[in-house]
Amino acid sequence: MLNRRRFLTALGLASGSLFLPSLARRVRGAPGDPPTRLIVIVSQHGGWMPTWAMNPAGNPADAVWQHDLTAMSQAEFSPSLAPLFPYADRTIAIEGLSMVSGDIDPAGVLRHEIGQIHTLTGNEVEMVAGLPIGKSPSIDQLVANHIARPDRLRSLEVSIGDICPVVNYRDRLQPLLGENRMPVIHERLFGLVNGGAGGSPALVEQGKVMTMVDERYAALSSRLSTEDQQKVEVHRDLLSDLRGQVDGLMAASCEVPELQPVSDYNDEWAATVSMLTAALSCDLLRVATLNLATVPGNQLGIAGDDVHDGYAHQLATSDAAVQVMTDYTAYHSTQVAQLLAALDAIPEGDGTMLDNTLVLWTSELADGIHGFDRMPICLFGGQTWQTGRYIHYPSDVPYEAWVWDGVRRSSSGRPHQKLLSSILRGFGVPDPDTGEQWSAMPITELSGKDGAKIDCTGVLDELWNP
Amino acid sequence: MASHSSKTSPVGWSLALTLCFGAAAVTAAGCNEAEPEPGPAPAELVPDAAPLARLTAEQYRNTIRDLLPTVNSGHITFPVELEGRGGFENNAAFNTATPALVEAYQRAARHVASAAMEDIDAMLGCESLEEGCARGWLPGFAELAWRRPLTQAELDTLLANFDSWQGSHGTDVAVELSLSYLLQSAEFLYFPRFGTETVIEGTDAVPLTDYELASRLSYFLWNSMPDAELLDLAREGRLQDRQVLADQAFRMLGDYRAIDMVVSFHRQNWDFDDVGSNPIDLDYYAPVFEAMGLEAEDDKSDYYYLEYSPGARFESDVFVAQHVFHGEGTLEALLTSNKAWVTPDVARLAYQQEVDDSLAPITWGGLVAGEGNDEIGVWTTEYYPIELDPMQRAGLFTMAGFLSAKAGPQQPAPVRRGVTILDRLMCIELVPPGDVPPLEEAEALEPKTNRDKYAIHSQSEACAGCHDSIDGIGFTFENYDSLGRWRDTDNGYPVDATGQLLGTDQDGPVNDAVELMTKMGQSRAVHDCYTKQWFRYAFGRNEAAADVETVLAMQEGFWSSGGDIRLLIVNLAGSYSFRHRRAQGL
Repeated sequence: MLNRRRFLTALGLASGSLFLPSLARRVRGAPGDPPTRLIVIVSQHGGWMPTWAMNPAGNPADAVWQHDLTAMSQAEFSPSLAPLFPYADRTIAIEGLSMVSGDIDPAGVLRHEIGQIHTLTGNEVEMVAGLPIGKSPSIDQLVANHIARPDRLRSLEVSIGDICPVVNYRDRLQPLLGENRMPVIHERLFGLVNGGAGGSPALVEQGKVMTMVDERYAALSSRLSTEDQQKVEVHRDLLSDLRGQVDGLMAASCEVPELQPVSDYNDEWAATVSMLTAALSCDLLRVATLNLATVPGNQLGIAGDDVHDGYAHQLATSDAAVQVMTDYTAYHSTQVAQLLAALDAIPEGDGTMLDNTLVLWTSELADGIHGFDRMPICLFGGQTWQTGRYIHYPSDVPYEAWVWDGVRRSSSGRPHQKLLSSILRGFGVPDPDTGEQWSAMPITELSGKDGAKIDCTGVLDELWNP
Repeated sequence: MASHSSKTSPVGWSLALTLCFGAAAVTAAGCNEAEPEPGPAPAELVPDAAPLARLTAEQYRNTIRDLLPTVNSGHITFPVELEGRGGFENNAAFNTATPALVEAYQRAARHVASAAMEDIDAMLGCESLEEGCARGWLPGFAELAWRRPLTQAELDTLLANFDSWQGSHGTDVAVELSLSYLLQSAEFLYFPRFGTETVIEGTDAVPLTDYELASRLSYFLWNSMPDAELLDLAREGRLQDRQVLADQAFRMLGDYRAIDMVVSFHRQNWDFDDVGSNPIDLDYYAPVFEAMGLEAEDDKSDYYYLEYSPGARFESDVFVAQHVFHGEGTLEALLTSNKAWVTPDVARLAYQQEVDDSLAPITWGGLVAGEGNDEIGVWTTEYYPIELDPMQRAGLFTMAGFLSAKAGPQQPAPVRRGVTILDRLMCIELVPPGDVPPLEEAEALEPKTNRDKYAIHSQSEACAGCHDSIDGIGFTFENYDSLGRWRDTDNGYPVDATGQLLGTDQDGPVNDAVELMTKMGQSRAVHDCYTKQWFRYAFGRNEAAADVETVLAMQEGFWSSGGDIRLLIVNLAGSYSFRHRRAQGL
C-alpha cells in the first residue's frame, strides 16, 4: 500500500518547486469565492456511523452543532476518517443527512441501484427496459453546465476498479458510465492537446468535417418520430460541443503525464489522480467524478473474502465486519487524502489548486446493510465555505428511517437534497426557472410519518454559517 | 434428442413465418417452397416499433473490417454502454449518445481514415491518384459506407468538399477527410429505417425498403454491413421477394460472419464476458498449481490469468460455434453435450484430462484486455476435441468458463450460479431484496461446507422466498470449485449437490448439475426463454405487448423444430415484424 510521500513521488509532485502540504502553510484566497472546479468521489457501501462519526465535546445528539476539526488531535479523529487528519483544516464532515427520497422510491429495485441514482440527482428512479435510470441531471452535470469551458472537455467520469453503476446523468435517461481503462482516459484527456498529432491538415480540418456531419444529423432528425428525434438531437448537441472542444484542446498546451502501467486497484487510483490533476491544472476540464468500485479484499488484507457479501452485509451483527468496513472507509480516506495532496501540491494564484476545487465524497448508501439514514459525507477544499468543521444534524425529520427489514428508527436525518442544492448554490448555478440562486432539486417535498410533510428545498445554512 | 422434436405445424406458426419458413418447408439446403404472397396483412401481424438503432462497438469494428480491409479494426475502442436487464448491446432503449461516445466516434473516424491512407493505392484500386481516380472512387465507397446510394444532393456535397480539400491539401488529405466525414455521419452510425412510402392497406405498416432490408438482414445475421450480393439484390429491388430473402438468409448462415454473430449472441446472453473476472485466491489453490510444477507466485498468476482464463473464456465460443454449425444445432446440445473443444491447460486443470493432440484442433481467439497500456489484446490458441466425463459434465454450464466466473476467490458462489441460470436460461427476473436482514443464526449453525454457509439463507423467512429457487439450482453446482474442477468433498465432507428445479415444465428434485441441465435441455420454458432472448437480439429491443403473437409464434416454431437454432434465426429474419415497420410517428 502506498504511503502519502511515496504516492506523491509516484505522481512526480514531491520534488522541485512543489511542496508537501503538511510542510508548508497554504496561502488562502478570499472566502466566499465560488470554486472553479468540482470533483465528486462516490464510494460504495456507505460507511458505519459508530466508527465514522466524531463528537469529542460530547455534544447532544438531538441538536444541530458544529465542531472545529482543527482543534482535534489525531487520536480524536474517528478510525474511518483518521487518514484525513492532515487535511482537517480543508475538511467539512457532515453527519446526519439521509436519502429519505431513496427510501420512499417505489422503483422496486436494489437499494444500491436506487441510491446510485438518488445520490447525485436527488430525484427518483425511472425504469427503462427493466433497468433503473436517472430522470434528471446529476449535480456534477449541472455544475458543468455552469462552469465548463466550451472549448474544453465538459466533464470526466471514471470508474476505479470494475465499471461502476452509473451515478452521473447528463440529463433524463442520459447516463454517463465511468470509464475504467486508463489508456482511454489518457487519450480522452490529452490526445488533442499541444496541437494534437502534429497539427496535421486532416486534424485541423475536423471542424469543417463536423459541420458537414451535423448537416447529416439535421437531415435525419427532421424525418424521425419524436422519440428518435430526441436521440439524434442529443447527438447533434454533443457534436456541437465537440466541435468547440477539438479546436480548443488542440490549442491548449499542457505537460502531458506519462501513462502509468496499472496492475491493481491502487495503481488505477494513482494513475487517475495523476492524469486528473494534470488535466485540471491545464484547465482541460473542470468537473470530474471518480466512482470507486468495491475495494478488492486483497487491498484490505482479506484476500479471498467477498467484501460486499461477507462483510458489508454483516455490519449490524459482526464485530469482524465492523473492523473490515471501518478499514474499508479508512482505505478510501487515504485515497481521498492522496487526491487532496496532489491538488494542494500545485500552486495556483496565491494558494494551491485545492483552494479553488470543491471535492465532494459521498456514497450510494449510508451503510453496508443498505440503510439510507445518516450518510457519511465530506466536503474538501474550495473557499465558498469555511472548512475545518464537523457539522452534526439531529434525526429530527418525521420519517421512520429504515434500518433493515422490520427495523425502523423513529425519525430520520435531513434530506440530502439540501446538500445537493447547497453545492449548486455554492457554484453559483442559477435556478433554471427563475434565474435566481439555486433553491431546490426536483424532489421538493416528501410525505413522512402520519402524513407529515418533509421539506427538501433550500440549503444547509450551516455551511454558510460557521 | 428431446421429446419435443415433432414437426407438426403449431398454432400461430404462419403468423410470423410469412416467408417460406414454415417448418415443413425448410431444409438445410435452403428454402425450396415459396408460399403465396400475402394479401393485406392480417390485423394481428405487427410491424416492428423500430426505434432508431445504432452500431454497437462490435458492429463498428466488423463494419470497418469489411469496408476497409487494409485497416486493423480490432484495436478500436468505445466506451462501455448500458444494457437493459436481459438485454443486449444493441438495445435501442439505451443507445442515446454520450459525450465520451461522440468523442470516440470522432477519434475512431480519424484513426481509421488515417490508417486507410497507409495503403491508399490498394484501397482506391488505381494506379495514379492524379487522374480523377480518387474522385471517381468516392461515390461507390460512400454507397457502401452508408449502405444505400447517395442522393444527388448528398453526392454533390461530398464531391464539392472533396474538391475543396484536394485543392487545399492534396488528394491524400481529401480522401482522408472524406472518409472521416462519411464515418461520422448518421447514415453510417445509425440505422434509419423509414420504409417505403406505401402503407399496407388496412394496417399501420410499411414494408422496409430493399436497402433497409439488406442492412437489417446483414446486421442481424453478420453483425456487419451487407456484402456486394445483398446490395446488388437491393439495387435490383429483389429483396422484397420472400424467396430471395430466404435464400439470402440461408446463404449468409453459411458464412463465418454468421458464426461470429451466433457466438456474440451467446456471449451476451450467457455472460461469457464475465469469465476471467474472478480474482482467484492463488494461495488457497496453491497445491493445485504446484502439482502442475508452478511454484513461484508470478508463475501461478501468469498461468491462471494468461493461459487458463482466456482458455476457459473462449472454450465457450468454440463450444457454441461447433455445436450450432457443425453439430446438432440445438439448444439441448448446448445445454447437455459433453463433447467439447478445450485447450491443454484447461483440460489438465479443470477436467483432469489430457487432450489428444493427434486430433485436429480448432484455432480460435478473441479480444481480451491488453497487457500494460494496451487497451485490447488478441488471444488465439488451439482447442482440441475432447469427450468430458458424462457423469460430471453436461453442456456449457458445467464447463470451466461459467463455473470459474460464477465463483468466489476460494469457494464457488451458488447464489451467483443460481441467479445466472434463473435469469439467463429461464428468463425469471427475481425481485431484488429491499433489505439484507442480519443472518444471526450464522455462527450457531457452524457451517461445515460451502453449502452449509449459504443454506443459512433459507433460515430467514425474508430470504427463503427467492433463495429456494436460487439455491435449488445453485447448490447442484457444488461439485465444481472456483476453478471449475470436479470435487467430491468440500472441507473434508461429501459434497451435497442435490437441488430442485422450480418454475418450469420440468420441475422436481435433481441429484446434481448434470441432471439439472438434462431437465433444462428438455424444458419448454427454457426453450421459450431462449427464443425470447433471440427476439430481443434480432430486433435490438425488448419485446412489447404488441409483440406477443410474434414471440409466441417463434417460441412454438422453435420448440416444434426440436430447438433448431439456425431455423429460429432464419424465421426471425423472415418474420413480418422484421420486414415491416410501423408507419405511425414518421
